[in-house]
Amino acid sequence: MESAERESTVEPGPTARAASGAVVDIAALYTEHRLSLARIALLLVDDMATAEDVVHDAFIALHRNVHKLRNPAAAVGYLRTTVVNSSRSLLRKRQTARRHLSLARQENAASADVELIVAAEHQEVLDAVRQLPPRQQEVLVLRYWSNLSEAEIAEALGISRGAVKSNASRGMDKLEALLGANR
Amino acid sequence: MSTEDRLRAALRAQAEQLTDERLDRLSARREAQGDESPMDLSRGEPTVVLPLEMTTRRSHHPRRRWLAPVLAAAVVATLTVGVAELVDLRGRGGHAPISALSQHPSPPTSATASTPSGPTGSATPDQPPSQASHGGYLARGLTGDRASIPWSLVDSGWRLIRPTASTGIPQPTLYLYDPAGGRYLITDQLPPQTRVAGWSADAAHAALQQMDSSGIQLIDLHSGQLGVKIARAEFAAFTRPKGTALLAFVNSQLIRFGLDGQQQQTYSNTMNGIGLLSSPTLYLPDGSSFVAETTTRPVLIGNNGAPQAVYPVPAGYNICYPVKLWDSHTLLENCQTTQPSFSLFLQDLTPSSQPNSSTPPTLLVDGAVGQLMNAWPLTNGDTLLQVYATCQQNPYLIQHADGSLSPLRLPAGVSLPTEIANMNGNLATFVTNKPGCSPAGDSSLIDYNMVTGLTEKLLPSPAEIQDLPDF
Repeated sequence: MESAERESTVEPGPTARAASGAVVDIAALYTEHRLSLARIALLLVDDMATAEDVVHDAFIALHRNVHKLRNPAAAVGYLRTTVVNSSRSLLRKRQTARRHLSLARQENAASADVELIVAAEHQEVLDAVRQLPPRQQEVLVLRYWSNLSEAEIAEALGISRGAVKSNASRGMDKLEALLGANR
Repeated sequence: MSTEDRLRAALRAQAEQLTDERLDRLSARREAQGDESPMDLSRGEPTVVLPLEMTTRRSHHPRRRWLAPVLAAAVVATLTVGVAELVDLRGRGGHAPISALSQHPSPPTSATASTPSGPTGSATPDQPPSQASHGGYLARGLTGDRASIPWSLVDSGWRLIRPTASTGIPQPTLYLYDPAGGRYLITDQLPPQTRVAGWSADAAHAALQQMDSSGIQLIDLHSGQLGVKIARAEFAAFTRPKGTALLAFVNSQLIRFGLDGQQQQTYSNTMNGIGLLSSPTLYLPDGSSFVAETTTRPVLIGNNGAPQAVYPVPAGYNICYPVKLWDSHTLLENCQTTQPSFSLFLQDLTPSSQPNSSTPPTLLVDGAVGQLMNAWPLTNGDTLLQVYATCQQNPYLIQHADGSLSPLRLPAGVSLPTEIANMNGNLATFVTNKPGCSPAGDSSLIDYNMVTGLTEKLLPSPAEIQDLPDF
């Protein structure tokens, strides 16, 4: 029933052709991957509304660039890369805007739609992850949440597999140190 | 429970709070708000009305309209604004129009940048390469054999380059490129699943990192022969001033190995409470000590393993990590606030009488310009900056002597996404169309002199540099 309601909000049929001439069914990709991509974005930006926004923009970018895709199977990878990069960019904008406008962080009452509630033991880990450099956060999220291989992470982030390994190792080392320091 | 298990559980706990139903409600809310709402930086924070040039149109459209042409145009506008945002935040009150950028000093335009001439005036890509050498260098476009390498000339400006096929697979060839663009074949039998991770300062050896974590393998560049293999090691650095040993992490433990593979020194994993050592590790040119990253701050460690300096984190920041040596006695470091914001600082590496009494670093560039990653000094007094950016944004800015900023004008033949793989003085080597970021995966390697504006293509498209260590 819920699934049917969701489908009613998505117009059927937006497709486009990749460079190879193959048809890419963007609507189907949206239905299938919207949630998983939004969850990656959520883990990177820590905010549901922004995560939804990031994924929305990623699909717009895909539609605009789909004709450049040589392999339609690469569409999901392209979306994943766009989501990670947009999340990083949004974090930067968020930070620079705060600084530029001298806004102090304030706590607004978040609605039940967007409020994130996690247990204290998880929050401790998430807070520690937030202290890592962005690249290390991205690698850890893609590795330990999305369960991507080193090669897939390297492709998503546009870095070498060696850099993936290095960032993962350093990120975990720091995470252990940060969590150990809190004990 | 291990840290990995705790991390998985925490990520799952947060991610799974986002459901299809919640996504639908968020979309519906956006639809109800329409485009009237200002940029919503984040839920749970005050709504911010940004200055016009900083405002990025967010996708507040209902899904049923997200394929409309008007949205596609909006995306273009959004991406275009990205670079302007980076620039306008600094020194102009955030209100300068994009067109104002061209009024600031900047590198030469693409028209002048397209003039084909190498740093030493060698042959252009459109002309048959000259057989003559230039100042001892092989002419651009020519390939020499290993026996003809003028080793006495190999110094800063020479590069080790491993081409990568358009498929993304590193080729088994390793070349030594001279500053004029000529190249010498070191070997065509590099083992698969490796990357070039380091180059010794005496130019005699390179370290190949096995991609499957099985270890490091050395290659003798004079003979082209593969050498000793150090199992389960992650390369960190060659020692200085020559490179007669190397540092590597084995199970997160920093160890110095001789080039024969023998273990020479094991470094404390905690540095007496300073924190865990991790990469990058940067050897000082005189070889007396090296900078390492710890949990919170860089440290200077002597060859005997004793900490010589623990560098302070500036007020307002909670962590600093080393980026590279700015000069022989100064460290470029990246300091982070909890927000997070990344600023670049310069730290004098001179050891003090007490390890904890070092001089605080001085600010080089404030993180207000973006999430700073790296910087390079140019001979005209400008500083090239690199910030985190999306694939569609130019990540490079020029900071002028008066503090103003302008985007780096990319040279002819270089399109986004791109990255600078190597800098030597004013000469930047661009990797264009970085694979993994673009639907089209072709790439090429282009030299660009940022002061003269001259460009040279080192490797034709499709090709990619696998790794480019410099001295």
